Amino acid sequence: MLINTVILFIRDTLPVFLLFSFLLAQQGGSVRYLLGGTVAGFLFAVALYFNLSVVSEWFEGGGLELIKTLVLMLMLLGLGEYIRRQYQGEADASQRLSALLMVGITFINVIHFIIYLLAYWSAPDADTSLFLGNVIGLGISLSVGVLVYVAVAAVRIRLIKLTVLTVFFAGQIAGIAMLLEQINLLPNQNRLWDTSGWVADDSEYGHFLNVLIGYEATPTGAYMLVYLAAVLFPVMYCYLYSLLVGKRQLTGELK
Amino acid sequence: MRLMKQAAVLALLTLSPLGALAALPEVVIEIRDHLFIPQTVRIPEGRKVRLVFINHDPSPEEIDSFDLNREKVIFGNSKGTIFVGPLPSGSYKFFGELHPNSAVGYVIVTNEEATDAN
Repeated sequence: MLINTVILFIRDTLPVFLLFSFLLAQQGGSVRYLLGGTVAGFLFAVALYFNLSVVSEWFEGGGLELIKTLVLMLMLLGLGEYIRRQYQGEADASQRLSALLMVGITFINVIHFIIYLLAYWSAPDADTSLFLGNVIGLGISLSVGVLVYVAVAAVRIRLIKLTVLTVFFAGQIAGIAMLLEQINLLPNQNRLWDTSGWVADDSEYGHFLNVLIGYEATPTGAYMLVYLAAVLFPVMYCYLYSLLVGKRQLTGELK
Repeated sequence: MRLMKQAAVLALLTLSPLGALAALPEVVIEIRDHLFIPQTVRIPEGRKVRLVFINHDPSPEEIDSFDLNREKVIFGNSKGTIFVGPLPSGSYKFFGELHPNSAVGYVIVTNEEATDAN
């Protein structure tokens, strides 16, 4: 149970630590806002846990998948606006958005660990193993988070920092394809390639790369399509926003 | 009139997966004492299949499969469905993430006619 707790802790919380680090390393990153978003996301996840048996029965058993899909899509929209503000030098105005992004990522990832934690808290051999597993998992996730923060904060070019954030996000967003395939809302597709001979999904590197950049050894067409769309979305968002603002300035709606 | 046509097309597109759903082959896998029963199921090659997991244990289980790219929580004393395929022939491992030592199973995709999918 000890090893399993460590693995599950890292798998379910590492995305939260990484996003925290990525956002903190951006211009105007605020620990207060990011922590606030994380706590709020955790509370939402706890609230969902107590209703999960009902929620998961919605839409022919696809309730949880659809909720996660909705949250991910809202996060993508939030990322577009966050990147626009960052790119246009409105870093202070992006702090609330960074908190919202933390709410989303905590909510969709931590729910799985809460299920494990609360379900096995009362198990006979759980007390020490669960506690130790959480401490070790927390230590590893924190260490990785700090390393990523140091690496990203050292980058001087804002565009590279935002690109790293976008690629990380795209890996999370691409999960939408798998969620929808799983509940039969997307047609399952053939795998485009198989790189499990190099880096298998269930290896340590596979786990880490999956969280970091959305690596999949056997991605489907839908997965790659959503991934690429998520990478390009912030660019399209900024472009459309500038077009809209330009048009409104031309017509005199904006000064 | 045009609006009605568009609405009809949209309704057909929305409902068409439901028709396909009913026709899909199905395999039932039970979870008892953190074990999958049966441990190995055979499904046809190149077809989408509905895997229904029925959890008879009081505790939840999280079905995970790197081979199938699937992950689903099945609560205690409840059931859940995962759609897989169409897949090429081969062996695809899945496991219970909360009991990875005991809850291990395999989906064998075969081109033989006799499978566990009904």
